[in-house]
Amino acid sequence: MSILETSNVGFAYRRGPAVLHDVSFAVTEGRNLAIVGESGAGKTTLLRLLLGLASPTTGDVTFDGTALLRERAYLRSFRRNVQAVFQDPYSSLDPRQTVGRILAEPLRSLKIPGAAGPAIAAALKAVDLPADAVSRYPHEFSGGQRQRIAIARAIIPGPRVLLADEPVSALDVSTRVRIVDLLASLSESITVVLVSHDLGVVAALCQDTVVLERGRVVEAGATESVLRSPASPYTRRLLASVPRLSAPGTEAR
Amino acid sequence: MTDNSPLLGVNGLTIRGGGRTLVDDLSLAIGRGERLGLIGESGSGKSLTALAIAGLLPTGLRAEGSLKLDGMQVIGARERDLRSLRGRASSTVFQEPLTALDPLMKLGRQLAEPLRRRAQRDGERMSRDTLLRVIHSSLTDVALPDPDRIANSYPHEVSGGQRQRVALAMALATNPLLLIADEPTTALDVTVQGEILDLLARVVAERQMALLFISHDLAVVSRVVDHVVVLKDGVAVERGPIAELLRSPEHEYTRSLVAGARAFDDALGRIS
Repeated sequence: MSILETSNVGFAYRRGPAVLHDVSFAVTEGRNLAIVGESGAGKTTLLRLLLGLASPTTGDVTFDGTALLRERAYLRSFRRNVQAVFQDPYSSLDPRQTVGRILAEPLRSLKIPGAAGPAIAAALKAVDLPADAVSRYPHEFSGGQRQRIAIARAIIPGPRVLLADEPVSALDVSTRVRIVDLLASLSESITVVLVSHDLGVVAALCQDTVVLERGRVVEAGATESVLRSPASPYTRRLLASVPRLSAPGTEAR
Repeated sequence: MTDNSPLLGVNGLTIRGGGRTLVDDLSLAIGRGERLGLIGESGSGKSLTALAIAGLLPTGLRAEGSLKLDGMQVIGARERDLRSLRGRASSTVFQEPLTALDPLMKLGRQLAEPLRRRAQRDGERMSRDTLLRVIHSSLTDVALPDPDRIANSYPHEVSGGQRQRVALAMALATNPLLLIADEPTTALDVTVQGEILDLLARVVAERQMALLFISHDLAVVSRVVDHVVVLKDGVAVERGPIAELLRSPEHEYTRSLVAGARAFDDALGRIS
């Protein structure tokens, strides 16, 4: 069943040219979806629409079958279900707050009932951070650990969908693997929508893939078929550009 | 300078600052026309090493040991002597071309500066017409379409890939013996990255330049160089031909780097 869906979505910033054209795809519960594209493809705009931070100029974004409303009570319940993690773990956490307060914030702002303590402890455990992290500050943690804190904050309201915008591209390679593993383990209960230009990460994490080029969907389907037999020349070019680990001379396969 | 001394000889380079050792007893050598990759993650000291070679270490950081470039000791050298070395012996391309370029100056004028410096160095007089012609051909050399339009543009008016090509043209303008490329494609889109790597490999080969390629990305490094040094917390933990290193990494850290790169490479390989 589809949770989040865009149908014929177009978007233009005020007095600007359209940055999204006729974008349609569906996020199916239990199948992670990758939105792949390079700079200028419209990924960030699309993400803002999926998060309800902006409304499409044409077409609809629907959650559980109904179009998103720009209304406080609706958005609060929508936020409990759809959360986000961003690229830069250094700028997405308030440096003046303890990790405990950072994690309590969504519980408070989304008016989620119940004691915060146990929920925070459970979220820290889920992202593999020590319990004593609650009393520490973001700067005491490495980049990978900060991204874990950001993920903990996102999963604490118990969302069904996690939008992850380039969640590992600012991290070291060895840390990337562990964060992708973490996202994969979380996706047993949460459907991940990954925005990424890294096809290796996409292949490791997502069952479905949408390829975006200059605001248009040029290819969509199961990741396996998109990457195995890409129909669009752009997808083929993207695939051919990925630096591979094979010995020199064989990378252009 | 004797003929058998390498173009770049780093011996026991140690960089300290703020009471910490940031690069510890690093040694490496690059001969004329050779290519070496320096691999490490954030905080490994790889970019500091590049700055030290260019004699550009920030104040507050102190380098010890020996760092000889084209026969000249860089550590402790006077700024005046370093200036004659920069450009002639080495040039650097940095990760983010937007910060390396002056936002208020047209690209052609920025490129003119190193071109003029080289002419002065070689005792040539360059007329305005010659300069314009050389700017045009330098931009053509880095495969920029419509070089006249690019020369007439400000950095923000061209794409990230085009900016990095201009930065490369500027580094090449002085015809250095050693090109230092510090994560030159990390900020770029994948399709652009591939083009820049190919370009870099081609121009370095054509001009028989030596190359020090700095990156955290094993797959990227393996496209451009044959030999690598792996740096962790300022210490060289492993070195050798990259094919061998990928096949049988010895140090635990190298193993984790290779495993990390392999994880995504394999995921892609299984599918496509």
